[in-house]
Amino acid sequence: MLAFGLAILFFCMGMAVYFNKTLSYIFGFLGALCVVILGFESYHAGFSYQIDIYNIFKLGIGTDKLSSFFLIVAYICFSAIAVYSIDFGKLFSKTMAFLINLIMLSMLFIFCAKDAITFLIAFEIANICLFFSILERVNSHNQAYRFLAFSEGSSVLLMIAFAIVFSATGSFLFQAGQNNFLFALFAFLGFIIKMDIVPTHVWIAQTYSKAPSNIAAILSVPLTLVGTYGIFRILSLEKSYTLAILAIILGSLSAFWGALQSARETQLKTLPAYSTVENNGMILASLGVSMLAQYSQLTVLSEFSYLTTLFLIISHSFSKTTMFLSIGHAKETLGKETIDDVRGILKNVSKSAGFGILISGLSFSAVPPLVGFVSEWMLLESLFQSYKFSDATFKLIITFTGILIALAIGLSSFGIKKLIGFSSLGEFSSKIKKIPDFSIKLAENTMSALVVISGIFSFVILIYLGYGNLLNGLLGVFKPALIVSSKPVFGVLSPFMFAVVFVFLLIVVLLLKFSNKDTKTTMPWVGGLALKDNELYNTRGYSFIVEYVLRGIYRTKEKKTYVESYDISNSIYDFLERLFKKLSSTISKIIMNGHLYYYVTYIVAIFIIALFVFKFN
Amino acid sequence: MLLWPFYGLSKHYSKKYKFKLHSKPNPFRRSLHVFVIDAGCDVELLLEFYSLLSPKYNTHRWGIFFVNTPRSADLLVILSKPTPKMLPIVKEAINQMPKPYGVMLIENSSFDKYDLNLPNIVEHLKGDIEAEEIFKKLIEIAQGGLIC
Repeated sequence: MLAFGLAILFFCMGMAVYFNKTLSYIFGFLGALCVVILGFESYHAGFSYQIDIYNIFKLGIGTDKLSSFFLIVAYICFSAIAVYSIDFGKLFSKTMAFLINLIMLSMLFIFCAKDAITFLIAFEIANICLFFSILERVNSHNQAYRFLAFSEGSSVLLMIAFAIVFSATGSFLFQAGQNNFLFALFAFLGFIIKMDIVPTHVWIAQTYSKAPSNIAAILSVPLTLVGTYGIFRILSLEKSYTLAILAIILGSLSAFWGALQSARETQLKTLPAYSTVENNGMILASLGVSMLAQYSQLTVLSEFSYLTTLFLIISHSFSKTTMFLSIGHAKETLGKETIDDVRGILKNVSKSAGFGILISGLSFSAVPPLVGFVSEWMLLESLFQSYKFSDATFKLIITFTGILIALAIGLSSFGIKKLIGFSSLGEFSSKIKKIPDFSIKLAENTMSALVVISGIFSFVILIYLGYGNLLNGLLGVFKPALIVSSKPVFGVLSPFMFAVVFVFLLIVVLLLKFSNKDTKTTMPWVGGLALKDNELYNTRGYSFIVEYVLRGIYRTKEKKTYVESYDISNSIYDFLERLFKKLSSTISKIIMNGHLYYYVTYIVAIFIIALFVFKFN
Repeated sequence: MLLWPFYGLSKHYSKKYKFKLHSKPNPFRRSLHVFVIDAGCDVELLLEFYSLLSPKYNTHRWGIFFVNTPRSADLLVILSKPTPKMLPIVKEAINQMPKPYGVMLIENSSFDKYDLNLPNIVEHLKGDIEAEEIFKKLIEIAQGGLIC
């Protein structure tokens, strides 16, 4: 509770001293740290506080296991973002410091709220602050309004959901929504918009690439965590097979679609944006499987897939924050938008940004022993256990989900390797603008280290979260270091032992490499001349094979010198846009065409109608 | 005149070459991959050199192959002394070649003498050079192995 008060105090002080950006971000960091401590404190013993307003409705604030977990994960990312912003924020105005502090404060209330009113107010404040912080970049109105439109759509659905609960029970508390299917359905739809699930993901591609990188990191991680948190709450309140199956289907489709689009993408920030869609899809599908297993009395499977969801959240949050921070660093230094233009980040920009992209990318590509590998292995393990369900329909659905998710993991790995290979490891130097980067590097290195450590010591996290019963010792691995996916044993994995073996083999490889010094590396031979921009093997060349094979889905068009492809889920919105433009032009031509006698006719008509209405009432 | 087929069989139209070969000549034992750079030569030398590709010389039978990149070449043939602009390209080509390699310089007219500092020069031909002479040298290098 002390940490809660201190966090609010620090955030308020951060907002108050917004004119001094550095101080403001430092207060933000301290506040975020307090929230992390609050999360660790209240994971085992949460607090709860309620007030009655005129004995009409109750408002409440408090934490439990679930919200504490989300507080820890989201605010570790927030503290990294705050540290990163100390130097990165110098490129933007003072308002951003104020807005980031306010976002952190409102997110704290979102995760701690126990009633609809506190939740919705905090939710709206966070949305509006994010809208204004996207506008910090010039010429980003279009993208910011797109974000706002989808956020408000989500808010409206949530308001409808809470209104349904209020009309049924007269209470605004979340608990009142128990066993209310209509509430659960509307809130579910509202939260999946927040999670960027297909087909509500169309805004992300443009908005993420336009927003400043620290804001993009907030959009990608803590904001989508709000959606995930909401889905967790709803599925624990309302035990509905329909919603669980809907979650599995939408989640797997979203994962597949996100991975499919990231395979063709060549923009620097759009690719991680689609990767966000993919990860959130996986989280949703895994949660759905967990709930379905719980309803079907499969306790161990339910526990394991619940744990999978938590690990997917950890993996997504840490890796995606690292990736956005590193990409933002490179993008601001080089001033370029596409992956092809920022080659050689590791050599030219900085080691920490290069390693940040490398490690987070490898984590997304499921390279052991990083945390992304652990979570994706756990997801596939839980999906492989579909045979345990007695219902044939569930078996079928989960098997097909497994197929889609496996495809998604492969495609995503294909896409992310493009990002790593061309941006971080490529070789090409361009003009570098020097920016102060001490705090930027600090944040990047810390997050990269977290990605590695949380992967290797995943069994420690498992014990802390209270799933010690899923750990064992087998095959020469000592007792708690082996994760078991089922009882009796179905599949086992030990990232810790993997890391030990990996380090040993790495030493052997390095020794072999250093003992053989007769290796020469040269650039490609282009008649002895230096390579030009257009002579390098580019990202389009890498992904063209996918674009060509799947030309039906991507609508690939081969122009004379370049290739075009398209996310067809945009076509729904393109159609709506065209329809409304046409509708408005038709209305303006027919009714509001500027002729005076039309207006006189309206006035007379309304006068007559009003006369009739009042006369006969 | 009726005996022309017999005449044709008995008379060699092409010359017979004599090579200075090492102990046991075996034309198909080794092969030499050659990369050619025109570093500023005149057309005469160019025509002479590229006539080596004609069937008359049949270089493939002797294990001599012309390749498109220095990365897979054993021998770099530099036609004429490199001009100052071509010198860095020649040096880059030498840098790209795998070890062991050789460099063969061919000039058909005299230039100002300046030091090129090129490594591993195995042959330096000067004067009015004909295709046959280059062919002989190439086969000598191919048969004898590169001695650098």
